Amino acid sequence: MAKNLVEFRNLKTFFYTEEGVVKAVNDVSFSIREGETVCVVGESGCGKSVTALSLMRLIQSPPGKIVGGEIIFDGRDILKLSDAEMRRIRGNEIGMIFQEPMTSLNPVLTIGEQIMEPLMVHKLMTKKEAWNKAIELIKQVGIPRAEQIMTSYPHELSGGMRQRIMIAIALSCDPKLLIADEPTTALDVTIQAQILDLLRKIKQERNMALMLITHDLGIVAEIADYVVVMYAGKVIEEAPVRELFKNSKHPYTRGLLKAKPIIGQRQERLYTIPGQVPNPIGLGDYCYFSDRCEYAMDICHQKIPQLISDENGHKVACWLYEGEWKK
Amino acid sequence: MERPTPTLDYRKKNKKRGGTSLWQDAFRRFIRNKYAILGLVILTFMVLFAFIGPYFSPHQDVPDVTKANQPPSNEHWLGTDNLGRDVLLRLMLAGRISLTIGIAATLILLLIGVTLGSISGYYGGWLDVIIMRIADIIYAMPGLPILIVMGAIMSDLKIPPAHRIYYVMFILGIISWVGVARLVRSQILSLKEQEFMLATEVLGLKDSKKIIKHLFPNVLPTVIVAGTLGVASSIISESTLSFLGLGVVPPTPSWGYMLSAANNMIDFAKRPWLWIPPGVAIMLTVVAINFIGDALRDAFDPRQKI
Repeated sequence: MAKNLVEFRNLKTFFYTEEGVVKAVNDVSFSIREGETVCVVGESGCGKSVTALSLMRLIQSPPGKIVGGEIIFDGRDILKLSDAEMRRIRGNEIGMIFQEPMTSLNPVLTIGEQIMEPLMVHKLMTKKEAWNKAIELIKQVGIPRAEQIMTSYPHELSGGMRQRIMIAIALSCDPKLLIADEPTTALDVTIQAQILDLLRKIKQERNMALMLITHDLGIVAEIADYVVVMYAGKVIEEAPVRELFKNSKHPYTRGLLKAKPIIGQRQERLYTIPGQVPNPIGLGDYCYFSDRCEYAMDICHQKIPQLISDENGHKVACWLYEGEWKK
Repeated sequence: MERPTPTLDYRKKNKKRGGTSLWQDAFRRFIRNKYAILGLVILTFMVLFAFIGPYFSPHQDVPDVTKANQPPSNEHWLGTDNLGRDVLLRLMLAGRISLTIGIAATLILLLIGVTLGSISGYYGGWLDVIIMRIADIIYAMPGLPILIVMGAIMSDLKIPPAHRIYYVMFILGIISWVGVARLVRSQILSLKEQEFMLATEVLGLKDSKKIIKHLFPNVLPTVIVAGTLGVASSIISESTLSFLGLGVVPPTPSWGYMLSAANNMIDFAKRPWLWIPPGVAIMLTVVAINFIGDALRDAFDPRQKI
């Protein structure tokens, strides 16, 4: 079994706003093993991106603050590193790509300059070496005419190409982990598939871990090894991908899966989970999903369920399974 | 009719642009702009006129009252002034002063303004508060009293007239950086929230690199426009200073001084050779610099295709 590359231990990232404390990430623990693809799934505002940004230590402070917990990356506690050490990790050992390829590249610098930059900063390459490596990277992410792309500006490329360039930049220093924050949301469906294929291919070639943040269960099914489901700042279920799709436990995960269209089945309306994500300010000590849950019991409104594992390593935080597990 | 093959055409067009960086591409775009070339030609002419021209003049810049107020003739192409000095020669000598002050003061004001504006906008917090309050104070004080006070201080310190020109540059730079600093700050404030800046953060770049390499090229167009305006206004401000006897001291000429020396009705109505040449010189210089500035701004915008 591969060893853990990243381990979130009881991570708490809060935002102190005027209205109150937003517990964007509240006591989150999970791990990513070397070479593994972990998908973090959940609705908007459930803390997926904040978890990833906490790992990069890019939470804007104020108002945000990592109040507790540890993030162990490759044996080091990220939260205890100095800024200079952190800069060596960013871009070098952890790469990151974003949702919006349109705005993630600097409009006034050529693609070449932007790919070469991390190589020259982190790998201390000369301009010539960086140039050659950059051309190799562009070819690797499947863009033809690499030399010409090097001297192009971002506005001359399409969305899909820009996202490929972002991937090339993120990969330039051979990171051990690539964080992809909804990398395909802004792209159309055919390009989405190409980008996912590319990510999978590159991941396999380099045995790199991938932390993919998404709300699209189709993507999860296609690429994930392991899935973490988040709701209102907490992990409510995590399991290997097959297990999760076959045997989902938490009513929220089930709801998500039911809300997905299935090819070959006609439905008048897709299922929706009733209600809305609760206001993140000033949540009490109870299961945050209880208001929307059709199985809610008395205890759900009174205590927070703990994340517990069954014998197959399928973890769920729900009172429905508490008794079952104890027996 | 034979139609050209589009793909070949496309390749040919793209083969030309082998540049690798913003600066090279900008240079290429710049030299293709005909206004830029016109501006450069005029400015080069003015510089040569001012710095080399005097060596070709048969006259000396000394008063000769016997030849006072002569209209343009074969001997004095632009006539003589009220002390009988050759206007053409003085125009050239004045160009040295005016061009130097205009350009140097602008460089100083840009240096101060861009640096402080960038720091203020990028870091925010108390640094921003301090810099912007200083800017407010300077902005709130009318320029003229400051100039008068500084001029008085210079006179009191008995600064030799020959050195005064350097102090004038500094003073002009120091009182006029505020506008540029504010412009740059506001641009940086909005730029730093852009996703590509988060992307540079993710790459683990240093702050200095982020500001100089990623933010600065984005504010460059604004800075260039502010700079071209700065050259013009510095030349004019210098003439104000000289008029008040606080800038360069007579007999050293400057364009602004030559203009204001012709400020009585007789000179204005009867002796146009006294004030038209310096006026035209200022105008040509300012227009040329504006052409160059406009072309530079376009050249640094990669979305402009030339």
